[in-house]
Amino acid sequence: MSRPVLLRLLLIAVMLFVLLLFAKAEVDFVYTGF
Amino acid sequence: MSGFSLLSIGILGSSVAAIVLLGATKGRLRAVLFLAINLAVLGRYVLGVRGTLVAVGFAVIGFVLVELARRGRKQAMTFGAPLLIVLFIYMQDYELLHFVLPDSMLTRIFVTVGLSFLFFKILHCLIEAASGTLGRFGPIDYFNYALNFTTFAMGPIQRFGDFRDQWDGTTRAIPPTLVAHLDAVIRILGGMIKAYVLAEWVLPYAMYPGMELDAMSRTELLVRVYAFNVYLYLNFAGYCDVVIGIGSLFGVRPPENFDLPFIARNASDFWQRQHISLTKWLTDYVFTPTFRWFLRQDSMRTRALLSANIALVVTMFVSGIWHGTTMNFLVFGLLHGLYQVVYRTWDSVLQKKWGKKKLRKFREKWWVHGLGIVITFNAVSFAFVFFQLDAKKGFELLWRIVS
Repeated sequence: MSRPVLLRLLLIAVMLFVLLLFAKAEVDFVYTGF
Repeated sequence: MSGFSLLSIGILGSSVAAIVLLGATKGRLRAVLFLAINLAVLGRYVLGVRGTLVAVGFAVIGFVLVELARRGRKQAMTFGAPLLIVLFIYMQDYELLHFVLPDSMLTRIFVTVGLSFLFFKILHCLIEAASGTLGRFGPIDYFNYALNFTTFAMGPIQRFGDFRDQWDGTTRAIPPTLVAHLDAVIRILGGMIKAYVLAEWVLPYAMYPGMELDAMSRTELLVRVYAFNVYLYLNFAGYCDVVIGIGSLFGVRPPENFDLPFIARNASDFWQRQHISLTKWLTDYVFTPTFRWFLRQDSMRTRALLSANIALVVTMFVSGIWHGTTMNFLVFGLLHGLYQVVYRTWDSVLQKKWGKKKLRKFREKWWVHGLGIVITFNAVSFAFVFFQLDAKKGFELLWRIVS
């Protein structure tokens, strides 16, 4: 696997981890509420 | 507000289904599958059955008008465009209607998430069809464009030609490489982090409709105004990142909608960076025709700056009332109109006084650039007060800050 692909896979893993740890289940999208 | 979650199994599963099914099929089957996915996502997760029926009904009316315009019927534009506008205002139950129509004639049964975006997409098709510039057009392509589940609720406002060319493979959404596909996944996750993590961290510090102005210090009010600006960006740009990523993976990438709005150095620059697809729509269909119309008038022919300023105020007025149905959005739009007029007039005066070269040098100075960013951020944040608070409370808040 090439270096750019590996780096991106690593970044995806980190982002998923952040989402699993901190993401709220539901948010209100402001632009749908006017 | 929204009532749907991009993190729900339903929407994520539907997105994966769209990526797999649209990637594995071709031709008419692919188009029919996409239409089925769009209707299923809107009906089940975004609008509900009633909202979906309203959206489909509005899209059908739009289709009939666009088809008539394509066949050269001039009435489709002359009567169709005003009809669409009146219908939209009625369906959205604009506050203004409550002053002119009896209560018995008013209803909120047609109020639906995404109707303002659908309205602008249909109007775009109608104008282009009447001008003969819409290009290849078919019913399934149109309904998939109008009801595209990625862009339906909050944009970005894609052009029909851009959608169609990507859909039929004339242009590519992203290069056919693994890296480009992984970048799209990163875009989705980055958007989710913006909207579902960072925006929610900022939200407790942002202004909210029920807040007690008297109970807060001037500094707290100012922080809440700034925080709302940041929250709005993370919330909206995050959503756009997610749908741009999803669209890229199934072959129809929506247009970019944000380009670092916090480094905008003036009012004009701000709208080139914030809600870009809306700015482009308003430029093409409101600003440019209005500006040209004024320049064609005998009394305005030599008054380009005045014509531009009037066209800018008209454009921002339309932007304001497009954003929301209540009076505060009118104030939001007119305030941005004022910003545009002040900036353009200031720019024009300096250019006359110094000439283009000296003005460019002045603009390039680091402190002028920095001051421009600070002033623009403040001006934009103050205008966003009218996104959250009614007009009276919004002015009270601004008065509390400046007095």
